[in-house]
Amino acid sequence: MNDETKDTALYRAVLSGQVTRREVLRRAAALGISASGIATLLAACGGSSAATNTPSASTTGVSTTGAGTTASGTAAAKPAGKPGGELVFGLNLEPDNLDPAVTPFAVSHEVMMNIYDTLVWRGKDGKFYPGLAERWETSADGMTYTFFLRKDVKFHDGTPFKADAIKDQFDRTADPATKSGFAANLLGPYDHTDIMDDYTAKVVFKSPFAPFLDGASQAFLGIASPTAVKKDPKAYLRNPVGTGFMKFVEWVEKDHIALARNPDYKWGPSFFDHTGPAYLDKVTFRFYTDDPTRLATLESGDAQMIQAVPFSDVKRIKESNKYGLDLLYNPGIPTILMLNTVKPPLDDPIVRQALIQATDRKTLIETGTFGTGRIAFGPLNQSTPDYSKAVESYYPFDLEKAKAQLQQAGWVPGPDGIRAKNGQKLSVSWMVSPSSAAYDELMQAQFRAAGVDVQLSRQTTAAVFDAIKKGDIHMALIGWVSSDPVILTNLFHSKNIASGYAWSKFKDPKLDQMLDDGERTLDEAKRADIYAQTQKMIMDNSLIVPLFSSANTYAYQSKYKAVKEDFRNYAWLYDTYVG
Amino acid sequence: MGAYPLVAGETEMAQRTAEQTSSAALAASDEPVIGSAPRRVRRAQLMRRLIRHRGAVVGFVVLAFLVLIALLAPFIAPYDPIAVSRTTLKPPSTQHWMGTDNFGRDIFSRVLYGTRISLRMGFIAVGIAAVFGTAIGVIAGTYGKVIDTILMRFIDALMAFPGILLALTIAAVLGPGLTNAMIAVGIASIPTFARLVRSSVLQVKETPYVEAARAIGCTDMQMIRRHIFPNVLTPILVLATLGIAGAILVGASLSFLGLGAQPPSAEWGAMLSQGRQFMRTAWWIMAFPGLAITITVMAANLVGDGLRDALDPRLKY
Repeated sequence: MNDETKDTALYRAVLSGQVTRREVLRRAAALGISASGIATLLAACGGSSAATNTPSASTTGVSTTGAGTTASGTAAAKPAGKPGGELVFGLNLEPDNLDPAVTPFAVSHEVMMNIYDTLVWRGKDGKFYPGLAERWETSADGMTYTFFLRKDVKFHDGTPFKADAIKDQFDRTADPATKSGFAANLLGPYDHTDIMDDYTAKVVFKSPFAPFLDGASQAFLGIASPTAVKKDPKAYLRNPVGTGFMKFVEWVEKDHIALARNPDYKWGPSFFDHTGPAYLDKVTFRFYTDDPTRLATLESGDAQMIQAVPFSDVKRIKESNKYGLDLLYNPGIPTILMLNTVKPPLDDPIVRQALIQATDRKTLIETGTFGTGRIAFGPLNQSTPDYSKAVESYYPFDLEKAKAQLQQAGWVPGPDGIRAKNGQKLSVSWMVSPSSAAYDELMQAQFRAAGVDVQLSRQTTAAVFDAIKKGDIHMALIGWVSSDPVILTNLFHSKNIASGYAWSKFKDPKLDQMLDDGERTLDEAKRADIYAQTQKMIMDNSLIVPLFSSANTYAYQSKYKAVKEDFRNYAWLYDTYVG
Repeated sequence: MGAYPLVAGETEMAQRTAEQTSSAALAASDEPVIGSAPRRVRRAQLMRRLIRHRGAVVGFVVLAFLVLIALLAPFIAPYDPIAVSRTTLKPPSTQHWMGTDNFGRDIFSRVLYGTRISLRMGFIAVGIAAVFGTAIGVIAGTYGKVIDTILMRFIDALMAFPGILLALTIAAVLGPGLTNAMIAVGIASIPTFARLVRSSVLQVKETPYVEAARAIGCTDMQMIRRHIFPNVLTPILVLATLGIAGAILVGASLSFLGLGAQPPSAEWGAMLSQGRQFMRTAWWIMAFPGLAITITVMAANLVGDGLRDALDPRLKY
């Protein structure tokens, strides 16, 4: 990765662990991770069909914009777009590369979804639609998926799209030498791909793998031109060639990535408003890592669209008629505080319970996120498939009860108000990255009110991950975007304690068994039941302090119409036009 | 600033050399050597010159006021500086003179408490730099040769980095925290002290009284203690005063970048950083800590300027 910028190198460093422990995570099939507040930092999503999961209003989030902006996959009224126009889109990070097999970043996905097509598409309704594959068959045992491909597709470099492209892409992704940051997780227990004929590919797994179609609908498993990759895999990292509605034009480091319309495009999924080439002539992605700066570029007109509007300004932008604002909640793991259950005093379940009960999430949401967050009750948020409502009865905010429980357990306040037991102070260490600055001090004050001292220190994301993994600190924040509950394996299976993200370091064979069953069970109802029990068990053992789901936002000048978000809340620009 | 009638004649000086003691520390002279007037007289003259320096007087008064605030913060602050409340992002009012931040904390109280952190940062960081910088400078200047070369190349290497960058690097290595930030700022300022002290020592070393001392058989330690060190104290004092301003500024910068004071400390730099997010909607979160930094740094600078002019006009560069 010779081309890496410093910024992305840092984040890659965070992930290097993820890469090396890919073997462990393979089965976890999933997701990306976000250092709490920046839920969009890394990508995510595994997922079996969530079609049975009723998407409530919350699933699709709140749309605050004008006509058609968050139209569901099969919008009834199709506004007539018109070709022409450009869009400058301000991202909150610069992608590390645009090779779907390699990059782990959500921000890369944001760009790649314009350049690449996927075998199947996932509509806003959670259902799967034909993409590069006209149809597909899943074997009864869930171990093979056969894709029947379109015959009229060609890559941007002229290479015709055939089954070998799929085999090449998946083999390369699964190859440890590729050092896949994320896509390999979406392939789970991948074994190999058989080329049945030019337009039929059979993907074979070593064990049943329920979440594959969801993975195949993400740009991380988008199909790259085999010709371009073979020519020079290194150069390919920054010169992507796909079949998507936008062609890659150039990437000027630390400045922008330019894309131009693919005039030959005619293989988009049926749920879009139109067919044929996209409307926009040109899309330019610029990188503004600083929140206030990114917002300023939108307001100055330098960018016509940005992602991640600062919480404090969401209301103002929303109320302004100059901008459209889409505010959505990503499915997956909300922002949660992982509690290290083996480090005293957090080895005491009473203390962990007290922490959860002392957390006034309502105030956190009002003050910390300016009302934009949505309360979380357990390890999954409400819009995730197989979310269990049962967790909502757990540990409501009750400061007095928290205090009483601590008192009863022998934690008595000292002169400074901090509790102690047998000479041990009730003091916990907490490391945060700057992304939680909007609310971490507030939580510190809330814990203090219960007599718990919190040593808060701000570090880089890499340092936080390192410290919590080693068990040097008591608590750390995390959040993952995922459209499948299989993500729980990554955060709670004891096999991921040593090298993964099971930061609570909680070992229980029963929990592990449930997580394994969830990954292999194809039956929707059974699966939902397994995950309901899993969520309950995580809360019974008070492994986390659930906080809230952060709002994922896009803001754009209101003359841009039909900006839409997909099932995972990435922005689709295919139908977008200048009104 | 012109010459003052304090310069001792050469012969007189040579005589005096033997009895020269550390009382020459505050020698207010154009020559780094020694004043002819008795100590009390010299001090009076120094005071007179300082008082005539209007900037220094203003600086002194402000700085004294700030020290007072720092000492009395717990008694005069109307609120607990880390107590959160529901009255968030309120503009300045009679209840909250400087408004409240996004956690509902009283900014006036936080700014008052911040004085403690910033002044401590200034004094401790400069203390570290002065002690180690002087030691290195005196040793290098006195012994010369190989020791000088080694020490000064080391100092040169440190000097190759801009101060803030050096402090940033050291703070990053040591890990975030106020104490570490103080150490970092201190280390980053060592080169300036070492350089200045060394060059002063080299000058003093060539003076007849030092030669005389050597001639009558003083040991190196005696010479450093009784003759060299007292005579380089003046530039150190000036540099230290000016350095306080710089240290406060760099310290606030480190906290701004998250490497200094950790939450919920009421540190001015950290408050600035916190307020940046709300620059457009709640200007007061940034404005008051920013003003506090400006005033403090300016006061320390004015005092430093005044001291420099009064003590050692040659240092005006």
